[in-house]
Amino acid sequence: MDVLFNESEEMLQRSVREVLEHESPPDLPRAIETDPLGYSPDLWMKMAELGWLGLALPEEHGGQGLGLTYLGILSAELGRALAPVPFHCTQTAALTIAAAGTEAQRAEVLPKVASGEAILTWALTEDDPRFLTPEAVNMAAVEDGDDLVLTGTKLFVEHFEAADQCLVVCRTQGGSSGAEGISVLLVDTKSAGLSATDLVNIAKDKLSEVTFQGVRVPKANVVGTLHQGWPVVEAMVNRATALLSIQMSGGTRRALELAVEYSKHRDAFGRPIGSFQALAHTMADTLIWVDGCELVTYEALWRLEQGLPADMHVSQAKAFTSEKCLAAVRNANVVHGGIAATWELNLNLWFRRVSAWATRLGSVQEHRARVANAVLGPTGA
Amino acid sequence: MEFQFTPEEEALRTAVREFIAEHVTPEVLSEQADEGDEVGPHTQAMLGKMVERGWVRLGMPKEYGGQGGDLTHQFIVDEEFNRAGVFVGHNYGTGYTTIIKHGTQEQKDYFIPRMIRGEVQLGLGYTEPGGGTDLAGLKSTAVRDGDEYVINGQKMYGGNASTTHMYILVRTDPDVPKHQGLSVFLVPMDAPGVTFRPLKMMKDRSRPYGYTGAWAGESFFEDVRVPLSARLGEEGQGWELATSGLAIDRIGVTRYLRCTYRTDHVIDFLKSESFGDYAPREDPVVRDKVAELWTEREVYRLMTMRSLQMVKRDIPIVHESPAEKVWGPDHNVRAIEAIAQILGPYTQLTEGERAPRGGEFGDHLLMAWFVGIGHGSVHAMRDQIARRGLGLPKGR
Repeated sequence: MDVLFNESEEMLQRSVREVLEHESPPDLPRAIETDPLGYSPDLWMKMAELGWLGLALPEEHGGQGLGLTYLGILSAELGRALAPVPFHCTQTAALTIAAAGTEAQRAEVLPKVASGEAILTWALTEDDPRFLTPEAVNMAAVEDGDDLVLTGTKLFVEHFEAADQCLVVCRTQGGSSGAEGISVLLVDTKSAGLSATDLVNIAKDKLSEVTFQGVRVPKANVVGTLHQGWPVVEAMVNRATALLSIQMSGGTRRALELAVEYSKHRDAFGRPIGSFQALAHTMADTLIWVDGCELVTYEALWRLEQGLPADMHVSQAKAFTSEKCLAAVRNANVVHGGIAATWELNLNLWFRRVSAWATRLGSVQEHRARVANAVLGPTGA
Repeated sequence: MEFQFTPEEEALRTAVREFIAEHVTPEVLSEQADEGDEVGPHTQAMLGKMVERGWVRLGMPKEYGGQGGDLTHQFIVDEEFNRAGVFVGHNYGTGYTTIIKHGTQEQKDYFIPRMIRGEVQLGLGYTEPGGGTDLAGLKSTAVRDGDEYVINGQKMYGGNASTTHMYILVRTDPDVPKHQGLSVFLVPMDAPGVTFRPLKMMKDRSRPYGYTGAWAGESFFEDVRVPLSARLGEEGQGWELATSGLAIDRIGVTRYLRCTYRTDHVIDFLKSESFGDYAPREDPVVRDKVAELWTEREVYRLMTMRSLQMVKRDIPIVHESPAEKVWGPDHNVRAIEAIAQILGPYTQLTEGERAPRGGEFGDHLLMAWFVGIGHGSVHAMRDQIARRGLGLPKGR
């Protein structure tokens, strides 16, 4: 039980941090907020060059074949630097194709992901925001010859405009309910009948509402088994959630560091404000939370990597990080005082993103319900 | 990173469980439930068998009288015995480790075998009526007079009715900076001038899965004359002894279990019990709260593993063990206060058939906060985290 980084994990963390300090200073995410493309192609291609985009993809398809813990370390650093790239959504979809796709799908898509040529995303949530519940999936795909025809609306889709392909979760069996009758389709984002509008949000990163009007998708693009796609979705959701949690933790740690630095140099009543216990203890508690967020999330990532049961671990990680990171970035603001509310201070870049990320991929209550199922057993048993 | 025990560690756990099933008899358990810290004959016999297996003081460094074994192995052994309701850490805390490290041959020959047999019971005399957190500001004194020291002062909370010696920190030099003028003495309770007054605690009986006994004590020292050989370590070395002992005591299983039992036990209780037709486990609000407590507890488990691993890998502890010492006790308080609402009026019961788990929750409603006080309060720990972990300037 060695919960600390080993040497190669430390080395990855160090090298990624060094690169991003140089390649993604706070000016970059700030500039990308108003850029219509929504990400930095230069940084994206740099990441491809360094092998980061294929870090956890299979070696036979251009990846490095490393595990999810390594991807987590990378994600934490991207969160720390607020790197404006469609990394989380691309990896979420790519790992799903790597795990559940056909050999043809893997060979077609994964090398392009590793090389930076393809950006992917995924579409699960509709108007019902519940994230772990198959009942929240209602969009229908109707069979028509060799195609499935999609009609409906997906919400909160990351970087849809930049993406080449999108994994779409839908109902392929009319009249089905629950986990039955769900499929995952790989959809070309340039398909006829697709349109997207921005969901303008506090993070000012790219989220879309995507409307499907009779979008035709070949049956060959089903990822996993037709009508039996819910297990594929569950695995995708677990990976996406744990990766977002660690990204959020990485960003939060940086916000805390900024608060600590500020409090050492800002004087009040003739002393640095960091010497006042009210603030010192607030920051000490915040450090404990951030440490906890990382520990509990790396455990979830490690279990996913090992193929061990991980539903509970993923959910406790997300429930904990959503609550603690949100409070931690607020603490960082409070230490700064009024200046933290201004647009010009960089701290708000972290505050706005972490606050937005904490609302995504399942509520605290929903994740805790899954933890409760694990520790107390299901209801009505 | 690796978040599981090795096959070797799992095999050890299995062996310990088998041993417990065989050797932790009702007689041993009944000795454990008795007041005081004496080691009863059945427990003594069982400890002998544990020594044969190398399970006692397993992970403690050899220089401190341990086996120099693996800390994770010790964690596993201690965890299993504690969960079985047997406390096997008697006498192996601060006093034991510092006597081994700093004692004269004569002191070691006298104390160590007697401590192992349970004939010597040390009471820790740090805190005084005037203060605890500001330990170096203590007022008790020892003044050299020829071949003797003359001790005067008062100590609080350490010791109980079965204590044979007080392990006290006192001032031997008033003219140097306050951390430098302190020394440790081992004072027999029967020395002329020592009086002991038992201090009844508000949780008025001992229990397994507990924090403290029902009794602590106050000891008074009035012109107590002790030989030079009663001093442990050098004159002026007291602060070093006190802090090294606290650091050794701070890592490991004991606090982890004290701070997680309530969450584990309420989950066990809720899984099987109902109140009439009402099963709290079905209530979504209760489920949400239990999941929150469970998650906090899991975070604490990982923090405990982190500190343990840092010691194993010889990585200096910066803020990690104080962090554990804030998170665990604070969780413990949140847990018992949440349990008090989940179990409602049943929580307050300490005896009888209506009391959940024999009244465990009622006892701990009284004493959960106490883990946040002993061994350095959570607020003193936050000061340490702020200064060492965050590099913040010293506050006031």
